[in-house]
Amino acid sequence: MSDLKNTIKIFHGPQHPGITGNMSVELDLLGETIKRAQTHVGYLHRGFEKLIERRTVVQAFTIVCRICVPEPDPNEENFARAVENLTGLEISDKAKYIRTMVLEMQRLATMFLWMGGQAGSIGLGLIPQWSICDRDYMLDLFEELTGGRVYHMYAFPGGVRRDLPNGFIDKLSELLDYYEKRIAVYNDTFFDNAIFKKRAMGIGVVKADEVLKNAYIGQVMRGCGIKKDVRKDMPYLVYDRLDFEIPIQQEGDVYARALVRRDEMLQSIRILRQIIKQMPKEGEILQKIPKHRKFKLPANDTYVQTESARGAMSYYMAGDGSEKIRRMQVRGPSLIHAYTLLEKLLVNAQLADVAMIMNSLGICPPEIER
Amino acid sequence: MAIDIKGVLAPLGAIGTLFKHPKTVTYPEVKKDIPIGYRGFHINNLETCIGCASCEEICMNDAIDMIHPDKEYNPKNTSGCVPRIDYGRCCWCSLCTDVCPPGSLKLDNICIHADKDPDNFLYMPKNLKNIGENK
Amino acid sequence: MDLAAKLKKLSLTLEQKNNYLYKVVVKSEQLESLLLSFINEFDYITLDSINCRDDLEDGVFTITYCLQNRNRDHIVMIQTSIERENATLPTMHILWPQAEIMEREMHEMFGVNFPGHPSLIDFALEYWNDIPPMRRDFDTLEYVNKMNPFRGQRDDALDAKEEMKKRREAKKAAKLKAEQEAAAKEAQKVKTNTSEEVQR
Repeated sequence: MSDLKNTIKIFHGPQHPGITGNMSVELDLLGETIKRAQTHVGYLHRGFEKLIERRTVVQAFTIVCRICVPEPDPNEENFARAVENLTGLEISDKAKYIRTMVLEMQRLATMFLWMGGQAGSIGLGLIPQWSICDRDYMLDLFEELTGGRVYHMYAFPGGVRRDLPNGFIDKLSELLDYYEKRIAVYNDTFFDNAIFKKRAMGIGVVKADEVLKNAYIGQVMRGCGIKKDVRKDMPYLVYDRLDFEIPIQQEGDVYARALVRRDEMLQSIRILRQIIKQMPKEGEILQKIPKHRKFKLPANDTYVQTESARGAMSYYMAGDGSEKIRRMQVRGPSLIHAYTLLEKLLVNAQLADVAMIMNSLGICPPEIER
Repeated sequence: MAIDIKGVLAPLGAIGTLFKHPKTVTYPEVKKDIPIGYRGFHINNLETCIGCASCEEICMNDAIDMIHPDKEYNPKNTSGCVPRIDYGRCCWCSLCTDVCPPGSLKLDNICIHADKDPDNFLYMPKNLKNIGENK
Repeated sequence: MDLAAKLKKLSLTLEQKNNYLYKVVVKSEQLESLLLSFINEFDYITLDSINCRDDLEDGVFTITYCLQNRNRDHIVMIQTSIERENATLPTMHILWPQAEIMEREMHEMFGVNFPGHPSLIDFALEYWNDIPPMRRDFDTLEYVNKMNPFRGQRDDALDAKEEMKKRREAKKAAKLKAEQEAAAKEAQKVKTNTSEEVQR
């Protein structure tokens, strides 16, 4: 290719402050402009899909949460819902409300982590210090509820594993008031900051007419003006009883996606306040299921989708009549964003913007290669 | 070109945090309260353990072994064995405590341990009755 | 629904799993034309994922293409089966650019070939020289035991069921012995009684 004649090849290596995992991009540079980019993964391959084929349903539920490191709860929810679809289990209202509450709490915690990454990748070191501290208060609540800070192992097929502790709802309300004040401070320091606007507007533009065909999902889709969300189109748990909106922007660049995420944080706080009001006091926490060697899955397959903080995550699960799971395949939102979209967006971009673009697409390497 | 005055001046409000109390917990002088129910190290009440090996059978990492204890604590122990856990493999999922029939195996809320020897990872759960007694 | 009637003309049945999920099973020769008709006639324009399942007992791979419609409120699973030996499928990367990375992963993990694909190189494993690892005849436990040395400090582990059996048999033997001794003592007592009576 004559384009690549005088270029230098560098490795934008697996250790980088702007991303939440290990992934590298091989770049061909002419000066500081990128002429070609190739993604390489493989640093985090742990072989989950093969591990799950040897284990029964109860044993596999404990390792599913480790597939995506910054955001474990949509994985547990998908697994529980797929098993319930295959075996026909029904869960009680209270369990549905608790699972929805846990999903929205996880969405808030992940958005704070994203904000730290996005600001850190352009050199604004103040925001990661603040946002990791604010995320820690949410992890303290998770520690009380589930017994673990990051890996909860809480949403079980048939309900949830433990009941709400005493005084939990009041602590959650206080934390939501605190977060609303903090988001106003982040608006002043980060989202309205002249430096961030100058660096982020017009970079990494995604065109709206190729989004649906190429399956770009999450904030990439909503930053281009397409108003779609799994919680509204194919509602699951109790989302059809709650009142919330889907924020969109029109430009499709890095700044538009950041504004969409900030508005989604405010909508999450609104959803959590409604759940606190509507939560039923009585209800069965966990349905009775047979012992773990006798819990057999029928010879059928199913496909479930959940809206995570970065887009729609899907699971394909198949059983074969025995107590072991025949096949479980994970399709996270980052696989397509990291390969098809990133390699296209980086052509004719500047070297200093690579980390910012990677972080704004919401790429999480652990779920690309499981 | 219009200058974005709000965008230039508003971030300077962050200087005010220099004069506020820091949020960092000064460990180890101040220790944080870990709630009861946190999944920490194991404890096993040897007077009620019946040696049924349900915990060994459900552990999905093959981390539990059944061995003879130093003396007999429970005459009703059907196999004469008690569990010992390999902390290099345990993932603290607490399936073993959920399935224990007499309820003798539990997870305490301590979680801090340091050792210079890398081969010292086999852990015998302490013989206690309740969570929170271990200090 | 329109979809079920149109598929009946092509002699295919549409199975409805719940209120947003459908499934169609098709032979591998008709796969490409069915995918094209789903895009053009029924407006299912998004390819969400390509999933592969190894059915070792029947000697086939079961491949599922999951498509989603423009309104994003229905999903259809299009399923087909291909032979395990020399598995080949037509490549879809011209219709959907995201199929390129999904087919690359399937080639590495299962060994399926896609003629005309631009980049069938390694995805997550480097310098792999064994059979494709997601196939069901690849034993991961044996591979791990072959390649890794273990710190052997757990050799004093006992099998609980064996111990229970040993204890039960020991108890039975002890009981039997105690009964025999008691019977022997009884016999001894009877003998001394009768000998005393005889003496009198």
